[in-house]
Amino acid sequence: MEEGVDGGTNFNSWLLFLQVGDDLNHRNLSELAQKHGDVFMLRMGQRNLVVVSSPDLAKEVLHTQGVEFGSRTRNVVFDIFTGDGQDMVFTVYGEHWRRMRRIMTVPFFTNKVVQSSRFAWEDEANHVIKDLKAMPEALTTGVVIRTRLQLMMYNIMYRLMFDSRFESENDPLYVKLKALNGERSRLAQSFEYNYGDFIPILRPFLNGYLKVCKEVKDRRLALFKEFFLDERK
Amino acid sequence: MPVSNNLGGQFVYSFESLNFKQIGTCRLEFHILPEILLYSKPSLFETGTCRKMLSVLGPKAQSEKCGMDHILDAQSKGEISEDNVLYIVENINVAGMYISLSLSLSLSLSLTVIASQCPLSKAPHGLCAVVVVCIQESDVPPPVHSHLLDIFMWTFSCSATAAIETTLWSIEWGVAELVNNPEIQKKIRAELDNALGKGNLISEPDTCNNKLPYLTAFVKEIMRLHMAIPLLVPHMNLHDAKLAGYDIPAESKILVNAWWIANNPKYWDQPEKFMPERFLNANIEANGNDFRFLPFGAGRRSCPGIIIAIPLLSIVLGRLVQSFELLPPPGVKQVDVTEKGGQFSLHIATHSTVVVRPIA
Repeated sequence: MEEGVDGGTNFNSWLLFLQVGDDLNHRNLSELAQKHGDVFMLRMGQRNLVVVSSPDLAKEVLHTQGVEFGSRTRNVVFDIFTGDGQDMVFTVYGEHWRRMRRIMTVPFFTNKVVQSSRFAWEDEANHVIKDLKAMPEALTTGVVIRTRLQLMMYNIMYRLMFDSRFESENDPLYVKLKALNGERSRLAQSFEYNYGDFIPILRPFLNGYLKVCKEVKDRRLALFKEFFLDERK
Repeated sequence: MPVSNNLGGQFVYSFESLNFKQIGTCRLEFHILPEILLYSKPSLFETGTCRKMLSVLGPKAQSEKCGMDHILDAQSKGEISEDNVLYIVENINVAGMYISLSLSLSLSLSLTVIASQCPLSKAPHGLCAVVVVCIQESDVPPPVHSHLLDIFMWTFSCSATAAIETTLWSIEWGVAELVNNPEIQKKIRAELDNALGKGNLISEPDTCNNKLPYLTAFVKEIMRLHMAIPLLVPHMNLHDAKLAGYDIPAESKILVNAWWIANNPKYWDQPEKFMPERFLNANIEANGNDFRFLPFGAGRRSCPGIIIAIPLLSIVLGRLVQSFELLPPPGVKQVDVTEKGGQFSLHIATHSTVVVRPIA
């Protein structure tokens, strides 16, 4: 790729790695696009990373060559949770995936689903409004309404899934779920694991990080047992 | 419809002959068994537990081997471990949702909808639904079973949180922009009052057919400037490919910088400005009809959650604007809209403190 970044030599790839290795965010990649063009490739250790930054090329990847570029990648955290293996089954764009999508999209991502759940959405929005009106500080010093909106989103999803909701932000189960989910989100989308992802030889250094992943998972399991198993015996 | 039957609390969903590349053909069934978690761990692993449980559901259910039984069978044959079984149960719980967008969002979101059809309202917490993936009649080699299950459950758990979180981020950005742009807030309120009549809160049908063009444009502008998943979900080419004349080696990770495409001055007038007007009369939808604006991606792998997210954003933000004047806290002119990017995400760095003054 002449126009792109030359990651062909070890020196360059290590340099690049130091530049962007742990922070592949949209702004850094936009700057690289301005330097190197609408398509460039970073060779990150063993992995090739191609970044596309124009409407035409987005169309090429997502639409025109949608089949060719339609598979999904994996990473080291994914491997931890899936057992380090042949995940190709679920990531490869193929007959199986196509069928799944067709089968599931048609009956479930339809206007019918929207029509049956929209009352719950509207109701949850009303709950937010009611609760905000009941907070005296909302009118004076102000409140972080995001906190209440988060409960609303949980409730919208829970009603969609289980036809049930949390009464308040203080529901002990909600508090715990939220905390653990947040922690897991951070772990899964952190940049921390890129090093080991790009350069397998560095994976041992990830052990601490992965240990935390596992701990969070175990704590969630304990919570889960406490509330859904033990409590209901 | 692939739904094969619906037996009280049991909801069975089956796929015929899913073709797994180079692995074989198998059939997957998803059972939602609301009461399964009543059973403590030891009994969970006794084959026949589910049968006992199903007896309350009537003879038809009893005659069929339920999903959990298959999993327990597989465990007793040593095909999967106890950990695998626990993992399934654990992950299926909503607590198991965390973000990882490296897989298709569609699978899990669909499953959540399946679950919604299950009458679980009676259950305390309503959380005790278990979706069991059962691999039946398969010529899939045994070691692949547990792997399939893990991956499937993993996918399921990922996407539900993705749905909660990404929508939440967008609402949060929306609130911040409403506070920082009082004139935009007024315009939205005026449009709602004119179109619906004062005091009539916006509902889903109002979000269709461009009945509220300014609110719609506002929601799009939120997604353009503060795109929740700025690099979309990474793609990959299985085989060597060509792109713009270049050779792309097999198994490269392909990122589409959708945020930059939607914020590049080459394609947008003053992209750094929050300006809903740019979408008025522009015929740019979020569904991928214009490749300058791809908040949900486009094509085969685009996010199917768009059908829920777009009306939901309009309803929530619309109702807030109709009910309150949203203001910065005393002594503050603008709330901080510094962004914080994760590997897959773009959200606000500081949660805004907002004063809400009810509208009479």
